[in-house]
Amino acid sequence: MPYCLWCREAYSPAASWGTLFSVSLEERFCQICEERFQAIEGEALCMICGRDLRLLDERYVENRMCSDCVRWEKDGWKDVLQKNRSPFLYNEFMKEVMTAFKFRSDAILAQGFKETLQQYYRIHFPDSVIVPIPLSHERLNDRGFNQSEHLACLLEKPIQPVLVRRLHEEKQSKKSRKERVMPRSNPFEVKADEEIKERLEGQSVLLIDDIYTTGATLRLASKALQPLKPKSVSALTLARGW
Amino acid sequence: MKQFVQAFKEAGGWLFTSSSPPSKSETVPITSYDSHLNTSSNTPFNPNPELQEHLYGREWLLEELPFNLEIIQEHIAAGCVTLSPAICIDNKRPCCVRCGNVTPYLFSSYDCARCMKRCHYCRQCLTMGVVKQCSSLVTWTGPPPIIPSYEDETLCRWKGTLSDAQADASHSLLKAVRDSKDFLIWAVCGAGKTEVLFQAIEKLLANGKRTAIATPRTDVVIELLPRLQKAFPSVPISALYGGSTERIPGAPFVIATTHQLLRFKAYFDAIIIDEVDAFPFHHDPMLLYAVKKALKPSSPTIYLTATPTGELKKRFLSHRLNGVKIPRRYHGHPLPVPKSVWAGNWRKQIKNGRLSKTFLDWLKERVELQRPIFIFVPSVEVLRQLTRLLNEYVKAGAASVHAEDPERHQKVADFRKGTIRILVTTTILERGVTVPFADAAVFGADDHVFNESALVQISGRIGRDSRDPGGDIIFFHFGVTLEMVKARTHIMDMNKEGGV
Ligand SMILES: [Zn+2]
Ligand SMILES: [Zn+2]
Ligand SMILES: [Zn+2]
Ligand SMILES: [Zn+2]
Repeated sequence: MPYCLWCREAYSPAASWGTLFSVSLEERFCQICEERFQAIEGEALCMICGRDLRLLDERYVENRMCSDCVRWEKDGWKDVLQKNRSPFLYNEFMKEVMTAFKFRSDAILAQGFKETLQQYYRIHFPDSVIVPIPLSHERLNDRGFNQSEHLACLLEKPIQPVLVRRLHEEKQSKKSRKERVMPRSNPFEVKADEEIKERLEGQSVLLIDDIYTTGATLRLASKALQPLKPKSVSALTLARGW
Repeated sequence: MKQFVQAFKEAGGWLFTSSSPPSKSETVPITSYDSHLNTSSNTPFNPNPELQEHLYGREWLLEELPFNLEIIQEHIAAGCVTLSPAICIDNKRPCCVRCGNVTPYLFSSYDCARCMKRCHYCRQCLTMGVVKQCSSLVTWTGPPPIIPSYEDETLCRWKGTLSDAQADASHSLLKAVRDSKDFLIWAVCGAGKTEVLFQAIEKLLANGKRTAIATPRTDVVIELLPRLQKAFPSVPISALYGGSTERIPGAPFVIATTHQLLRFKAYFDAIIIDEVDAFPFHHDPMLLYAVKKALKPSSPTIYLTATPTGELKKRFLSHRLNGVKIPRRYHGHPLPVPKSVWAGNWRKQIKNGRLSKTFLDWLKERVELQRPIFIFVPSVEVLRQLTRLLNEYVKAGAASVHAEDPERHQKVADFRKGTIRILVTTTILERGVTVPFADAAVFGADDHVFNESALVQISGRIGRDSRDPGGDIIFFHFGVTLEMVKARTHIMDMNKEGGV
């Protein structure tokens, strides 16, 4: 009998297509917990950031894009981020699970998202080169693992960790509102062997991160990658705020 | 010296504090400390009193300590502080030293960026901060701090009087504590069990003994603290729960959630567990382990409950555990006995947007009498449906609370004030919250979540105030269950024993 990753209750796995073909049954959420996640579905998603446009007032929608993305594209960030997709809404339950995953270092929780993330990769970003968003050295040491790398590993494809993140960025709360969206200097830079750098040239690159909030982190990472001349940079994030 | 190097290596070889995460330059390999160590053997070592207070009788993770590396190093060298691996691998199976976990599926592992190895971590005690294979537990192995003696003082300034039953219980408890014997206080809801403890606590503290009241529930810690501070104004009391900040390290009197006891080791001379049958204490081997670890060897545990269950009840009834029953409320009136009322297939009814006539009639009558009404429901789903229906059928201001409701405390306060007339709740409010002049209904009393102890606790919410010792408590059901019968019998037996 498998145990739920979250509530740790023993449960009997429902026979679904997923469970029929997966080899291991143990590392999943039970059905009750699974239902507490809120999937982002449907056709009406922002072409760029993948937000559900039906949740927005009409005023904030333009050419199948949300007004945030429209602003990014106009403000000199055109095509920096081609497309983000997040399978889940960052609801209260996701927040709880993410807190345990990131801040309590309960690394195994990521396993529960494996199937979903693999499916998203297959459908939206086939053959993309995978680059996880890095943590700064200190934070990595603190936590013991990089949550984005952990999520990227679930895709079971080669990973190219070409980015590094400079020292602790200042605490969010100490910054002005404007800076919170966009810091003065890019914390990301490329650090890898020439041979690895070349693997990105002319390729579709897929950044992996846990949460899409303002989209600034992903766009900064993409900016840092530009010297490697990727064909495009997209992102797969586990969850996003509405 | 060799020993601690070993412990260090097993612990991953790193030392750092949480306030300053290590960068490459701060993380010092153990060998560079050798020169420093030699100097300490000549002069007598004076332990840092703050570190001593912080560590004595405790078990902290190294990264939890708010002291710098150098101080800790000095004390390790002098033998006052000992580091040990937090996770032992015994016969290839991991074991968490902090929480006692040995269940394989409650461990996991990953490639750790700190120790650069495949690193096991414990999933059982995660809420207290992760324990990894490369974590170290820090304990004090130097001289114990001097504990203030209160012998010449009257510590307990509580001015009330005990009922006869309370006085008897208080006396027996005092004797049990003196003899270091475990003890059960089986007191009905509203018996005034906290006051029963005062005499024994006073004696313990006066003799320089460290005492804890532990409870599974944070709410109870928060509620008890001001009452105990008032009763023992000269004693430093530390309140510990998830999210609290400890301001009085080394306090002789601690009020804590049972989880927080995990950070103690052989500290207490007595632990009183309030609401011992409440979730998650009972059935949780970790919390039992925590109590055992926090107590000094052969020190007593005192159990406090209105509804002892399982092993505890068995031990008491077979005289393997000493204890007393307080079958009578402080105000001397009998406990209101619950009535069972058939309400038909309530599950189907609410699904179809209907409510049974018996339930509605009772509700309307109580609303007209202007009484606050608790309605206990078996699940969050029923809670949502019923609250919606109530606002449709009985326009009397119904609100709902459940465990994850962020406005929970505000809503309870509004219910007390009377701005919320009907409070629909899951079993989270079965303990603790009392409102004078209230009535209670259990909607769907035949659901399996309502066992004897939950139903007795719910019934215990009613009639606590001497101005209104009666009050209605109705079990609305679709078929009487054994648990309902047991709860009723339990209450009637207590009334009989209390001679009321
Ligand atoms: Zn579950
Ligand atoms: Zn968008
Ligand atoms: Zn543990
Ligand atoms: Zn490690």
